Amino acid sequence: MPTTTPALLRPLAELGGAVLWLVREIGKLTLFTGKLVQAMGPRNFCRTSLTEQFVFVGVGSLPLVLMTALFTGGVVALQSHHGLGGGVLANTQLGKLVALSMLRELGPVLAGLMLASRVGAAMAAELGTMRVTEQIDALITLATNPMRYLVLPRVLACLLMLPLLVMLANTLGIIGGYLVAVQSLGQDGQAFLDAAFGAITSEDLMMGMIKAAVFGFLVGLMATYHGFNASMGAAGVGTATTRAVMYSSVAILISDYFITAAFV
Amino acid sequence: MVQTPAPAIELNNLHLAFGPKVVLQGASLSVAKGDIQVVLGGSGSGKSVLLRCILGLLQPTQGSVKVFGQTPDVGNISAHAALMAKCGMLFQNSALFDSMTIWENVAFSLLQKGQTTGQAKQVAMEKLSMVGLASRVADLFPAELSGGMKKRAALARAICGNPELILYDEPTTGLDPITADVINDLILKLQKELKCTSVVITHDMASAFKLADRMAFLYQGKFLAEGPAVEFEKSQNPYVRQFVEGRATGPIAATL
Ligand SMILES: Nc1ncnc2c1ncn2[C@@H]1O[C@H](COP(=O)(O)OP(=O)(O)O)[C@@H](O)[C@H]1O
Ligand SMILES: [Mg+2]
Repeated sequence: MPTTTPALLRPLAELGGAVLWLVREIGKLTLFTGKLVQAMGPRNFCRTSLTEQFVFVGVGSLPLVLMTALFTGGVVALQSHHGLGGGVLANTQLGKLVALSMLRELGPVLAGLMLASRVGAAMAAELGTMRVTEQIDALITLATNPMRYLVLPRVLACLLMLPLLVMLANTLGIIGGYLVAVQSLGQDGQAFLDAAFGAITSEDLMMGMIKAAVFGFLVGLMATYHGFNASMGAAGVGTATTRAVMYSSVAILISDYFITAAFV
Repeated sequence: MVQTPAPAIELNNLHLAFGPKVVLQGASLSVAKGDIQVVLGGSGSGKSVLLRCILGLLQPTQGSVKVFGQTPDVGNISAHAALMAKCGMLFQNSALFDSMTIWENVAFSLLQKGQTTGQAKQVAMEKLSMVGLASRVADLFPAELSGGMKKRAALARAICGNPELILYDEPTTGLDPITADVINDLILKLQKELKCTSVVITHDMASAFKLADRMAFLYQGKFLAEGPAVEFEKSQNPYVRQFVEGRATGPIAATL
């Protein structure tokens, strides 16, 4: 009875509505994930669509992710140089700063966000179009489980390809930092590299890879979930695409906090 | 009592609503094996929803659906896939996979079952010629085809697994009268060759009388009338008469 809510209680009611929506949405996502796991089974994977998705997600995202990483590494070097006072400290610490920021934080988060905007949007739009043009229903009537045929290869591709992309992104980020350090800050290249690689621990590597896998999974899940549940024509596909990018970006940033908190 | 063979489809007292919008309220229908059952009904009367219930794509809130004695339920993946293997569905807008060529569309279920490309393509070409599509169409994409050709291609896909039951959702809507009649002939031909059961949803009366063994009229969520096609033509039910004759005036209010 929304019309009889007293004015004072209205914000409370809205808050309650938002909480309910969130709980329901998480519930639906969990059910969707359950169906996905169920679809995995021992039966043969659709190898052609898996390969197709690996290429689309992995190879296709390389330019975007690598460009982002290269410039981010450069910016981190430039900013930190000033932050460290530009003196001897900067010379010995810059490599370490660039390497750790890339590995632990910037590599996975930026690659994840790039994946959300490129791959997430494309997948949500593709599945959304298939939904509203009844192609997903057609799949079912042709005795094919769309979770196995459409959703699983996409989520797997995101889950497995983002860690690989992040490794390359980290390398490019360090190269970006190195180029700035040597070319525009006039630092000693060897000292930079020593500081960078001397600082990296297995924990840093692991944290970065865990983040990458989780972010990849979130992007794949949000994209396929919203595409799969698109409704009502072209506008529905647009909404699904927007939601896929928006919610996977938010999910990346929130889960980033919790993974980081678990490690420190 | 004479033993009648089990019906192909048995719908019993179906109820279904989308939120406040009630679509089905007590629809019951039995389709005998080997029949062409035509379902008539106005736009938005729930004909497509009914088909989705038969396929298990929608679950009625009340009542039961039996297809070959089985309750279709997408939740039960392997049982549902086995049931779908016996069914073919022609969607209203064809619903061809637009990322695949026509022959890949037609052979989809065969390729999924692990048949080799060569075998699958051969079967697909047979089915394409069965629906009267030239072999040069096989390597085109759905976007390159006209509406009538898409319908045929979708029909070839629906019959690729030699189904025992074919469901047609408005097969002639949106086609010119000649192409529409070609599709009608095709449905009759397939019925004869595959010896299957068919459910044809339409509001094209010419098509309905040409195809039907039995007819049913869906109105306000229920079957208002059901019977052999010849009886239907002579029906005195004012609702049926208005629909069959296509008059704007009568007991059915034309709401938009
Ligand atoms: N997924 C859905 N969500 C909400 N309403 C729907 C949905 N599918 C169908 N409807 C509504 O149900 C009614 C019957 O639809 P449908 O079966 O497609 O009609 P038709 O008889 O023209 O095929 C329509 O009023 C339609 O708006
Ligand atoms: Mg319809």
